[in-house]
Amino acid sequence: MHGGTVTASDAAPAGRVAAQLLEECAALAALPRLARDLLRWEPDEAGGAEALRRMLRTDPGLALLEARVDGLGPSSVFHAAPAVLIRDLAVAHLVTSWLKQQTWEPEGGFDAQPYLRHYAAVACAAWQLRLATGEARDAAAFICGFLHDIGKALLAICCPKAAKRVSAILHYSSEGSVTTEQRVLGSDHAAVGFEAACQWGLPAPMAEAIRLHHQSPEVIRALAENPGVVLAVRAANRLANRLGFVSRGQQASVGEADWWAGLDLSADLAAQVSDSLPGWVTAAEEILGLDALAPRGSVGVRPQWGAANQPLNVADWSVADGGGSVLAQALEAFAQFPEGLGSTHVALGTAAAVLRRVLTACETAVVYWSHPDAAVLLTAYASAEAPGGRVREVPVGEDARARLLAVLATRTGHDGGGASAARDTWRWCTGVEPPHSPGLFPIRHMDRISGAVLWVGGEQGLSARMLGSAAAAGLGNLLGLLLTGVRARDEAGEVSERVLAAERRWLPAQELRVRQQSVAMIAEMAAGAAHELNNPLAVISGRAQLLLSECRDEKQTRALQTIVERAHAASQIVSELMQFAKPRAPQPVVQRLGELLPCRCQRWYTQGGAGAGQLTWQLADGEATVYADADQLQEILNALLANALHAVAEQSGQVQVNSVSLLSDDTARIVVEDNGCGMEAYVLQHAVDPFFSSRPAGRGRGLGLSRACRLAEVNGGRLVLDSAPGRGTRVLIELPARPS
Amino acid sequence: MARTTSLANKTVFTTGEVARICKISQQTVIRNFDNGRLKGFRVPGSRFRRITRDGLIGFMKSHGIPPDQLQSGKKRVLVVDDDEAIVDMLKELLERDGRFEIRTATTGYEAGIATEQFRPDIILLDFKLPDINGVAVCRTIRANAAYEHIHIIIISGVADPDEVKQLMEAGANDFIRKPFDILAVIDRVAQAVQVA
Repeated sequence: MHGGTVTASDAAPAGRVAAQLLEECAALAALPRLARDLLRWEPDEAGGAEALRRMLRTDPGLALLEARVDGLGPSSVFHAAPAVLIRDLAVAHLVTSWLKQQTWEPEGGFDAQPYLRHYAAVACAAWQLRLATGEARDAAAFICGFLHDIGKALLAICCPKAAKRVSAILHYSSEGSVTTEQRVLGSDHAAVGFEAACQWGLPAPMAEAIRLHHQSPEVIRALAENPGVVLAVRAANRLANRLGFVSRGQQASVGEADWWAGLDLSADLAAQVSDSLPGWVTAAEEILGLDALAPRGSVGVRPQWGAANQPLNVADWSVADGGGSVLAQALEAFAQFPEGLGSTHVALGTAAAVLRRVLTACETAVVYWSHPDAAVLLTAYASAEAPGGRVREVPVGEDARARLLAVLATRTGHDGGGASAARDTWRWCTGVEPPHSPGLFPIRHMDRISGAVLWVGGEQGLSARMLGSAAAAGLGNLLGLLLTGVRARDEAGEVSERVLAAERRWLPAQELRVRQQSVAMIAEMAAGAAHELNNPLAVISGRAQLLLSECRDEKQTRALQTIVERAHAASQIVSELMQFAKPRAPQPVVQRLGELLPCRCQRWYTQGGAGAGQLTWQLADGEATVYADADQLQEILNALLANALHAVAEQSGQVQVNSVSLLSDDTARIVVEDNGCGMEAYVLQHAVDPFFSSRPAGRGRGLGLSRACRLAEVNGGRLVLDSAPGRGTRVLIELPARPS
Repeated sequence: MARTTSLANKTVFTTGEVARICKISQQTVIRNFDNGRLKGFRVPGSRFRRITRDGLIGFMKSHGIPPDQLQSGKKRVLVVDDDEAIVDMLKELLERDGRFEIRTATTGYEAGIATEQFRPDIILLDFKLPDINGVAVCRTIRANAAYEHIHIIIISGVADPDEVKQLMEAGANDFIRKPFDILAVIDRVAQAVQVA
């Protein structure tokens, strides 16, 4: 390296992707030799200005640049530029041409334009800042500024896909580019650029500016040989970003009042540079020939989201005031990156927000799905924003699904919004005419159609035309992302609060379904097991009984009796499991709690199950009723009381049975509470699972509570458990109070 | 005894045999056959009269003739189960009791044939058979009026109350769950066929 104190080995440790990246960077054509020669030129060399001119004339492009600078009128900011600035402009011109050579279009390729515009702006701002502090001559502030983000361009050239992913994430997040790159690539543009600078043999100030421009002023002062230039580049970068001269994928900085704080800038200087920067950038672009690349003003600056340069905040979008197009742009971004975004929590958070926004912009959305969770999720998201839910779920049979898939498959590309097909589909799916022009688009994930959404925008809502086909495709991708992404949250690390909130609404329904499925499975298993087990058990027990009838030996008799007993006990377990999974259909009757509870509790005393004064009961309203199968309710109460009394047995604690509902309530609520040992979180979580028992082996089969829970379910109610170690357990029984 | 047993197991009888069983003259048998009170057929190509078992039983019942000559004295029990260990055990159990004559079958098909030939008084029927299930066997037996008197007891390991209900609706008279108390089985069987 060229005289700097910073060496390549100091750079952030490069990950696997980064190592590959650097290899590719090394394989790139090196920066033109002329550029390196120019950078080694020192302005105060004897006869230096002449030597510079001579060097410039060796390249036809640079000769043109020299002529352009010379021809600038006094009104230009570059009028009578010092030699060092001309040198910097020349190098910038060479770098520009070099980067343009790396441009390979069409799609997916590297486009130098947005990067160059940002580089030019930072270069101008850095030069101005150094001018203002009177230190412009001793260091090449302009070219340091120009090269500071060369790593970003290199990333985009060497691994365009990863760079796009990073830029897509940055588009929506407030996270720093270095952090995101580290996460996605294992390295960042500062480290990559620094490596390249070392390979190219760039002078120390440039290498330092490339490597350190994202660091804090303290770090820069400690590490840089020439901290003034690096600090200027850092401030210039912030300034340029704030003014909208951003490189691809980067978002404008937040527009807070004291944005210059920590930049080593006075507010006056910041304002002064901000005012003159656009003029400088325009001039620099003219000299460097950037304006020839694309119409000015449309490059590099991302669309304005509502208020100028505000960071993306989907909650503020309004569809009615033309935000629909903004939404469409956001969705188009998702259409570009169907897979790459899936692994990041940022994208998920945004996806959820965008989706909610879209769904609530639609007056009606009819959801078809082959993905079992799509409807649940969509409803959860939509109802969060618009209570009452605007999403209608229409269950589709196999035929309709096949027909729908056929319609979607005939579309080319991502377009799912064809009006007449959508209208037809709406008609045969719902049986009525659509109120407006409907939109139809597939929910795509992993290149497969996993469902479809049919929707109609309201009068003020999002019309199919506003959304556009690319955006519709983006919406499909978004849904796909969400559906898999929410569940891949462990992989993604953290999930945004919004997604979590929606997930929380969605999970109970999901859990219930899982529980119902497992109960059905247990029933099926128990039915099969009953036959398979009971046959051998019948033989074991029957043979033992036959032997028993002839046995005269006392010891053998006892042994045979044990065989018979245990065979029957084993069979009993299977029966209980069957009863758990498939209880007898309840025959509910209305019962007065005022009669029921005292009677049930008293029985525990008369049968010796409860010690004196151990079990008490209370009724908020003796007239309150419960509507349930009498035997099954008795079983529920007995199971809960047995558990509660068992929990307090060793501690001579108390068990309280309270009926807390009133006659007027629609739900009967009975609380069984004990101040016994309580349950650990793990035990509580599994308390209602069949055969889960915290008692010592042989002291209970662990079916009592699960059966009580199941019986409450089949009677249209539920059990709610609350317990903590040392605090006792509280079980709330909720059942209908009367026939509905 | 041997002769009686053979009579007890026959499905078609001559007029002489019917006269012996019913303790009436052969002429009376012929007269009743000819006037249709005793159901039967003539051997093809001859004029020999033959009386079917069903016809004989119907005749004896309608005239109050004690059926002991037609019986071995023991109640006939057909045990149907696909598990041979169960079949063997039940056979041993019932044989040891001494009041029953036992036949066994391990499929629904065999059960059908045995019902036809053995004319059981009682069938101990498993629900799950390899070919047709117990419900179908029950229905088939009940569809034939001649088997109306057969008492069907399901012995099964099924635990699903719905399946038990289905069986009872198909025409079973009783249900015993496996595993069972052997004395209870003997009691229920004896009770069903009223053997003291």
